[in-house]
Amino acid sequence: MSDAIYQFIGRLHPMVLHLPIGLFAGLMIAETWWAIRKAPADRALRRVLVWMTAFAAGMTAAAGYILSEEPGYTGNTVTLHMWLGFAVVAVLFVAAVFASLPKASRAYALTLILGTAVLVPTGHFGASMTHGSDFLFEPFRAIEPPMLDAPPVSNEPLLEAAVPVDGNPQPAVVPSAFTTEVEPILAAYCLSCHGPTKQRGSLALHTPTDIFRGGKSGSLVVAGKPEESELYRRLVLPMEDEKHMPKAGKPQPSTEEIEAIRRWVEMGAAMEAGVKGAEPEKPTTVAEIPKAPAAPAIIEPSKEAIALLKGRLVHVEVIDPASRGLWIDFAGAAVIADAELAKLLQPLSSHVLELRMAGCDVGEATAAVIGSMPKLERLDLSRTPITIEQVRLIAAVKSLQRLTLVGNAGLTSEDVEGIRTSREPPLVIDIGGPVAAAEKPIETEPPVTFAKAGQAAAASAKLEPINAVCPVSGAPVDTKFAVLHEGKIVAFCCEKCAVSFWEDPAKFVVKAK
Amino acid sequence: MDPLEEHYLGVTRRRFFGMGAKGMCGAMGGLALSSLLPARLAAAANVDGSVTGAGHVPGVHFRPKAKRVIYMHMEGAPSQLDLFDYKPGLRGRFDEDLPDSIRQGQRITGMTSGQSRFPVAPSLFRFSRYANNQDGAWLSELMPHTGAMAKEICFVRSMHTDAINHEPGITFFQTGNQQPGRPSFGSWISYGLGNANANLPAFVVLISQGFGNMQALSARFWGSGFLPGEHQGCKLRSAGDPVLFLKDPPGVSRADRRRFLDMVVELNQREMARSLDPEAATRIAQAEMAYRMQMSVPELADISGETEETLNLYGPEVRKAGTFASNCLLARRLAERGVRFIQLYMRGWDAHNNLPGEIRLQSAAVDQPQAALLQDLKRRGMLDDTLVIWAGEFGRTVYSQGTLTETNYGRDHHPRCFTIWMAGGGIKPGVTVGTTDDYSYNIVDTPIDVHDLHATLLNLLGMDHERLTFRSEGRDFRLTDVLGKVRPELMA
Repeated sequence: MSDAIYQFIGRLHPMVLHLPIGLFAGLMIAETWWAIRKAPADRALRRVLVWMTAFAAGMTAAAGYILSEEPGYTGNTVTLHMWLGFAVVAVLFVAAVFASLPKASRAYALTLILGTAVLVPTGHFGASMTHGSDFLFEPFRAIEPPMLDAPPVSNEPLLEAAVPVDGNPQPAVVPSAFTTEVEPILAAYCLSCHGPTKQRGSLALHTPTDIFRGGKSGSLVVAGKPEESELYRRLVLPMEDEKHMPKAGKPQPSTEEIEAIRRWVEMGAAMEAGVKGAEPEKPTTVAEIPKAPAAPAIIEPSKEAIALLKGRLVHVEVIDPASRGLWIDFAGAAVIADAELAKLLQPLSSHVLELRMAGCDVGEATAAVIGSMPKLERLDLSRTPITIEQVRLIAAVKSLQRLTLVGNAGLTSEDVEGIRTSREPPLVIDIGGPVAAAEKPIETEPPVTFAKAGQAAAASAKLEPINAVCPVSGAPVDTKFAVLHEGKIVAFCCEKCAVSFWEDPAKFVVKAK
Repeated sequence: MDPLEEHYLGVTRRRFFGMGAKGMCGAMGGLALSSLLPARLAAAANVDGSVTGAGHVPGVHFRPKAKRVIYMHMEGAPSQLDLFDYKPGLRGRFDEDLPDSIRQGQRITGMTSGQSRFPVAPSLFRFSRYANNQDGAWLSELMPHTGAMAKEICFVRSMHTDAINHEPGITFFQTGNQQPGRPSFGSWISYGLGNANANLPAFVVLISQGFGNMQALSARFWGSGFLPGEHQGCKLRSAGDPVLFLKDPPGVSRADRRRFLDMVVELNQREMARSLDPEAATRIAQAEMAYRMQMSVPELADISGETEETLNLYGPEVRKAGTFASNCLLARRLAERGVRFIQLYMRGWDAHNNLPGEIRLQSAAVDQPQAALLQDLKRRGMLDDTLVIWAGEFGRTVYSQGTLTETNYGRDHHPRCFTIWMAGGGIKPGVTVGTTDDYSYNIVDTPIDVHDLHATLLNLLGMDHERLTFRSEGRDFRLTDVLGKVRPELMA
């Protein structure tokens, strides 16, 4: 309760501020009157007015400070307004003191002027927060562009367009999801700050061009990818995040409304109304009014069924928030009998995307329930007593992509192979069999040799000797006896010559060349 | 006054102001303090082991590719030049000085600042090219088994980090910040996704000792920071009981234990109501978890049910508790049982000296088991929803630390580029991402930093890294701090 009183006091600020403003205005009028008329000022009146103004300003500032603690009051404008407001209070109190002192009339006058100087920007920033910084002079600016590019659609035209009076069948105009769903949401929660009157962050959201142009933070919508679209992301950020939109403290869209925006982005963020049927059609009758592309309604999985499973330590998780698809894992659960498994799973079968039942007692009843799961994509039935007929029944589920059957005693690999190829596209089945031998590498580099930079050439040198005649003896060379000298192969006729050369190459080098 | 309001405000306000509840000043002061009260006032432990506090509900933000993570951290920083980053041109530059154009004035660490030269030390290991989904992945002779799995692996050669030393480096990799105090990656996952098996902790840590130069491993690498305590990693010991004091002492039956626990839980609940201490909820959750772990942990650690063929796959060390091979097998078993984050630490890669000898021993210990883990996960159909990460905290320098000979060299720390690999869980298989220059010193293209890596991994796990936050000390913290971009180059 006192929390509410506290907040209430803060919210009195926009009301209470009029009191010191009014008193200050009265004070200024009085001072001006006395100055013009050169009449002696009524000091008692002056003192009363200035002290009342100071106290009223003090109360306003206190209420304003309490108000600033509410969420949503952040940013430069608030800070400036607050500190200037405090300055106004301080100056007014100083003025009041000077007004009460006998010989301080000049100081008093100066303080009043200072007070005016500080009050004006305070008021400006305060009003900017509530009305936008261009509120005063906005009427002098150019006319805003029209609201929408799409043709105006009301709730009734479907009937008119579908069955025109002159009998000429015209394509029925189907209002787009943008018009029917997203636009009202933007209008209700966003346009007050991002619309024709105000464009916070240089962003406007009232025309499709503006939406796609984006604002200071870049573009807003990536067609088909809500998770990459700022328009959606900011809605789902935590409330405390500075970037969360709408600003905290302002009305927030409901979960369904956020979901509508997410769907719209995911389906391509189309702006235009779709046109049904390019070719001439028979005039449709009243019974066949074309509907707007129906967004799939989200059905929540049964909370009771989930609670029952969780009570048995089964892990149930919403693995696809968009469709509320479930992942159910029995890894931590105790042993549950087949019939009861079937009963527990049945209420959720339309939501199950991934199911792990390794080691469970899966039999006839459970297999039947699994076989009726329309969205099942992955299934793990390792170490269950399941039979091949039951597996065939389950493999018939069209959405199933992957089936794991490791350690199933009742199945042979031929059976499994048959199921794998029995449907198009083939089902991926993991049976955990022995792994194939490791692949050999495509190529291996030659043994590693190191060489300093200049010597690298030696490795690629030819192995042919550069000479045909032994440089020591002059006899024909025997390539068996060769020496690597300065990157070249020098051959000799015998071992003795090779050794002689090795010991003193300079002596024979000329001959070698 | 409303009794609930009384409850929320009474204890703290009274203790601080000593005033009656109806005083205006008391009300204002109490209201000011109410924003300081922890958010977990209404915390309650659920039967499935989770704790729901006011505010966060665990769950994915969008459809994930991966449901769990096996993160093998190679503590000490393995040398990318001797394992993955093939630079044959360096062989012709043996003992050359590192050019200034490559080093670009980078500060030399304290350990090598005494050296007069920085000679280039090419790797003395032979590299082979293994088939993958591009034109082949080069791995050295130290990791043949891992090379054979190259079709599943994404090698990232252009990782870089800011940290130069082990403690800040591992802290940065684990928590997103070099200074301690933040929750680890596993804790964020446990907080963000919740537990999938009520009988086991969501975050398990397994440590194996190495053969080379080892650095310290602090328990805060798997700590929960400012997140509630039940998200911290649970370390399983390598020898003896995996968890201390889990077994009931002789003479105490499980039914006795249950009655004792019921009483402890009730006392803790009274304490929670009296002092509003959120960690009382943690104690309740952990006590319940410990009770369940009494049954689940012995079953987990009992590998007698594994086939001979499986055990041979992991190599000869698999039966010895505490080895990397044994931990890899345990990691697969934990993954099967729904544990969200399995952290393996392999110590001993910090080869400042005697690198060839040390790295041979280290690689021999990890090569076969890590490849076996990938194969085992794949044939059980689990690889495509399990994220496997293999990483050190930084890389090693191309220049030798200490004396360089043709058969021996050492390498110093090098944060500017290093190689990690990942597999499974939505990672693009069979590719090599990123290139370094010819000296494996600077990155030439696709630099990826640790924040980007975290953002990408969180995305694969179904979470927007900017949305997974926790308010502490007046600020919304997240794993990626204020940085991080999702990198589509890494994703399938």
